[in-house]
Amino acid sequence: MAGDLPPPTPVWTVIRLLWTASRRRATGRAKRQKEIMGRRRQKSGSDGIASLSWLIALLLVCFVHISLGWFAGNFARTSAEIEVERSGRIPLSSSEWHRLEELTSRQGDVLLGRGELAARPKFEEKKRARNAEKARDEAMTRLVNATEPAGRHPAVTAAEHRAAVERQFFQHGEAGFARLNDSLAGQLANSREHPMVIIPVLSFLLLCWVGMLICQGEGLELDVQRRRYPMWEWLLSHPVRPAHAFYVELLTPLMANPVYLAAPLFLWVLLGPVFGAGLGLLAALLIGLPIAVVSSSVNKAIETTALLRISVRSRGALLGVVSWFGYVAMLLPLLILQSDAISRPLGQLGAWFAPWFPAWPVRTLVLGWAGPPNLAEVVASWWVVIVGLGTLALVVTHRATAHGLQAPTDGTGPAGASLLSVRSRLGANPLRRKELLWLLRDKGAVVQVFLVPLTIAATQMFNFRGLYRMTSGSWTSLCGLGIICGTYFLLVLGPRSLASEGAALWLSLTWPRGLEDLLKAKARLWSRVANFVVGGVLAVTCLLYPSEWWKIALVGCGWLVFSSTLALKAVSLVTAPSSSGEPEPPNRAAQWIAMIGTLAFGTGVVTGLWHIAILGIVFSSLIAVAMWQGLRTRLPFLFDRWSEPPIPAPSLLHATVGIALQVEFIGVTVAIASTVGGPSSLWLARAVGYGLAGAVGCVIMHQFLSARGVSLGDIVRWPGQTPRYNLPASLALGAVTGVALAVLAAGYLALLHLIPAMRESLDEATRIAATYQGQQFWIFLLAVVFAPVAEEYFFRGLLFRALDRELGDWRALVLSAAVFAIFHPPMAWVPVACLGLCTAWLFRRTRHLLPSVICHVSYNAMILLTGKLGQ
Amino acid sequence: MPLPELIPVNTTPLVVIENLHKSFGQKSVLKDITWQIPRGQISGLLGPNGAGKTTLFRLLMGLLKADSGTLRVDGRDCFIDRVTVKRLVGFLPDEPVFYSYLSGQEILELSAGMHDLDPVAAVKRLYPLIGRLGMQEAMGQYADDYSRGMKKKLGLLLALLHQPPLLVLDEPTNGLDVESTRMFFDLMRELAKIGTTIVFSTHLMDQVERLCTHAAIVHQGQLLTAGSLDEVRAGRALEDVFVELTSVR
Repeated sequence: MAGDLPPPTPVWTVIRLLWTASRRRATGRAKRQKEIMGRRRQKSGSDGIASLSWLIALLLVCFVHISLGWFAGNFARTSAEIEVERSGRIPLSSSEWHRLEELTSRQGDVLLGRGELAARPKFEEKKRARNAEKARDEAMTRLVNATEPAGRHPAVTAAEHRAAVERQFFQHGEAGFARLNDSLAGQLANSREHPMVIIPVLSFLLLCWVGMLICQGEGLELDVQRRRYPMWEWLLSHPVRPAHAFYVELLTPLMANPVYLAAPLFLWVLLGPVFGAGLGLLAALLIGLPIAVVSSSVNKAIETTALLRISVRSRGALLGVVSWFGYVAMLLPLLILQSDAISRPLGQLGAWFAPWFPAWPVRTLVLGWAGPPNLAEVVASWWVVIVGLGTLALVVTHRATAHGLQAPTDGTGPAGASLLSVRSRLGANPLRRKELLWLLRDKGAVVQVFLVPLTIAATQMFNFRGLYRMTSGSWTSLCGLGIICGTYFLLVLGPRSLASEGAALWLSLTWPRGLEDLLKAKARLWSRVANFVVGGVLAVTCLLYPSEWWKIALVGCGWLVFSSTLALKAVSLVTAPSSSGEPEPPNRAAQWIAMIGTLAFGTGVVTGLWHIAILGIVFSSLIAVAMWQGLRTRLPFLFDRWSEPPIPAPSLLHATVGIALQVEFIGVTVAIASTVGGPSSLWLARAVGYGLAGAVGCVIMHQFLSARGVSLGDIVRWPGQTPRYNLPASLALGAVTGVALAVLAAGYLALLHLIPAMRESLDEATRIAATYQGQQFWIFLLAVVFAPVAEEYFFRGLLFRALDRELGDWRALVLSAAVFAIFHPPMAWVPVACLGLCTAWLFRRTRHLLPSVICHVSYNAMILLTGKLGQ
Repeated sequence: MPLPELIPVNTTPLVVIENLHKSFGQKSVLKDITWQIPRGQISGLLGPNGAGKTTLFRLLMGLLKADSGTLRVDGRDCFIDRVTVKRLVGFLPDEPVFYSYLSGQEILELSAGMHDLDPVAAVKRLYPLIGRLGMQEAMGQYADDYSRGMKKKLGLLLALLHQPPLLVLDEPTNGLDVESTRMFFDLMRELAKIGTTIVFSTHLMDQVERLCTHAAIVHQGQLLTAGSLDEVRAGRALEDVFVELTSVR
């Protein structure tokens, strides 16, 4: 009998079981990760970087919440000023009110003096009247100064402002001024009687804050595929109410995105000034934590609805827009309220709205219902919101799951097939056709590929608006804008397009072209699309500034190299989906590494600082090759992480990190040594710093590498056959090359002297060098002994070897020389790059590092000698 | 008239597996497997669930790396030469998943392109087979909307696209209806007749007895027996042999 069957499993049991299961899954995954890492025996730094990146993300969201709360309080002052200005009076802060009173009394003295003077026109009276006027004028100056910050519009000159204040005072007296009521609580209390400017603005801010919490969800790391997890089918095969199975999932955004747990900070900063720090904190916790829980739930409820009720090709679009809104709701108030130039017009707009705007919602949420501020009332009001949102989340989840796992389809056939037929030019390349069809059909792809990069680029441009203002109207700013847009386009698109593979990645593994070729082809395709966008901007710039065409063409060439390296970096973030269909999150450490320095090229172009732009290109190339080296090692084991070997040492990453640490260490040591020795011993400090840092760096690196089975001999000798030249001949070749290079460098210097601007800075350098006459020995020791050994060890022994293993041709030579050059002053880039090329070539040719060291030594010695002769 | 030169029949096995070990962490999945798969024959790999059949096939496709031992297809190492090996192998996974925004036809064309074939010609060549499988209409629909059986059929079409000499099929008849299964059997026999080597995994005895010339039984990561069907059966029913071998160990 049906009635005898037990009822569904109770909701709390379901929640408890699924919660425990999800915790176990998380710890299980972490444990497995650890096992795999342990098996590879090589400690990887990625764990540390991952937790560091999480910490940075946490700090960032804390900053966001605190800033939003602080801006709310700060805006109270702006709105108070607007209120006063609208009444035709001049604002004066309460603390400065005594200035006005002082002026009034001085003015009284002046009037009194005039009366006395009229009655008894004696000398003393005249003098007294003059003194009174003088004192009045001084008081007036003090008042004018006191009204300056609040009452003077940036467009008004100081003299005009003074005239306005004087007019106001002599016409209206004290009534022409108004006390600035710049406390948030005071203005909110006033809103009971009058419409206040603060009300619409604060409502906007609170809505943005709640909107940000609701819409951000698990963050911008979107799963484009938006597949329903196969686990759901299994979950719903149990005797539980469908909605109950999803209750635990409601909290996943809370766990994934630190923006939720940091939510009380906003309320603390907002309510602290009203109720005091202690009570404010209590209120912030009582309100902030539950609101984090319910807004996370509402977000997940929306996502569940989309996954269950919307077709697979439209889901991504809806969820993309929601998450994009979460991002915009965070940025918009931050951008608006941080700048007075924008927040003031917004306030004036708010003043226009204020009479029609209900004040009670904001007032009850910050002050309480009536009377003086009341903490209990504030908490109760927020709890009404919390209960409302919580109910909404539950109702939405219930409605979404009421019809089970529906499989809605679009109902239309595949679109764009004729446009991109296999016989057409665009569709001829199978991979290109597949990616273009994805862009065309997956609505989510369109949203995420265009909306997100454009938003990020717009934000960055806003952040750098000072820079742009400085360079506005020049061709560089236009080119730079195009490049920054292109940069974000590639950074966002690359990982997204990989997600489009999803669980269908197995298919590409049955093709003979191999996954590596597939990813490279993808990188090429996306960099071409970005080139199309950036090329358009550069072409327009060319039309506007025809005389600069060759410089714009050079920027274009730089972009071609930069975009290909950027695309390679973005694509190398690939992860394989887990067998349950849940998206595997991309490696955070790798993401951060890929992001480092990506803006250098764009910013360099905008500001016209070309050495920064070149630095950006070289650095991006280096990181791209390093990441690709890691990916190449990882790729064959995408589905077999147990067998994944560590990258054989010395890897590019080892070399890059080693060089970066070396530079840091030298900087610190030189700073300490020159502080101890004083400015007169700068070169001694440099020599000691360089020698110490070089020696210690080499020893540490050697220890690190020998722990990975790499001996010093492996570094000094080029791998492979026996030396091609015998050592004495090689050393002689090195010395001769060094001398020849030094002669070329001298020629280059002579050429530079022909350029007027260069001559000035070169003469300046010579003058500075002349002041170090007494330290010749130390300069010689540094340049001829320490620097060559340390630099050859790191740049040739580690970096060039690793690059050559990865690229294996002229590109390794060029890139290693370029990296070597950018660690030197821009003026020396050309000769240093030549030296880098030659020493790398020597290393490979003679199969030994020593000739390179000798070449470097003889080059540096010759440069010093020719410099001496020149003097 | 000179007599046509006799083409020597290649009697070496197409797939050679020797002393193969594979483990995931502490868990040993395959232990010392040595198995030779003869050319032009249909071999069935029998084993209970979790015996290591799918792992063995993934190793054959170069998706996993063996801890020790060798796997060779026509003399090429399955992991080191995994890219070239894919020209020789057509693979059907247990649960094929496809791009949700491509139609069946477009997936076939994509795969043909990735095999360096002319997409139109390659798909055209498959038309008769598409008709036999009853997939004509489905070709224009998103593969995402396919039923499980249709996905299996599309996977099979993909595996046959480049006319590989070796077919590796993981549980190919799972999800197929009776008629499709029968059709599948006929197709396998036809392919074997023109020299294709087929190896497929199953846990159904009767399929092996009806279709295969060779069989192997794997249990708990060990290859218990392998050889021609008659050698394995030794005059008894295959099921009896299977139960006896798997219950003893």
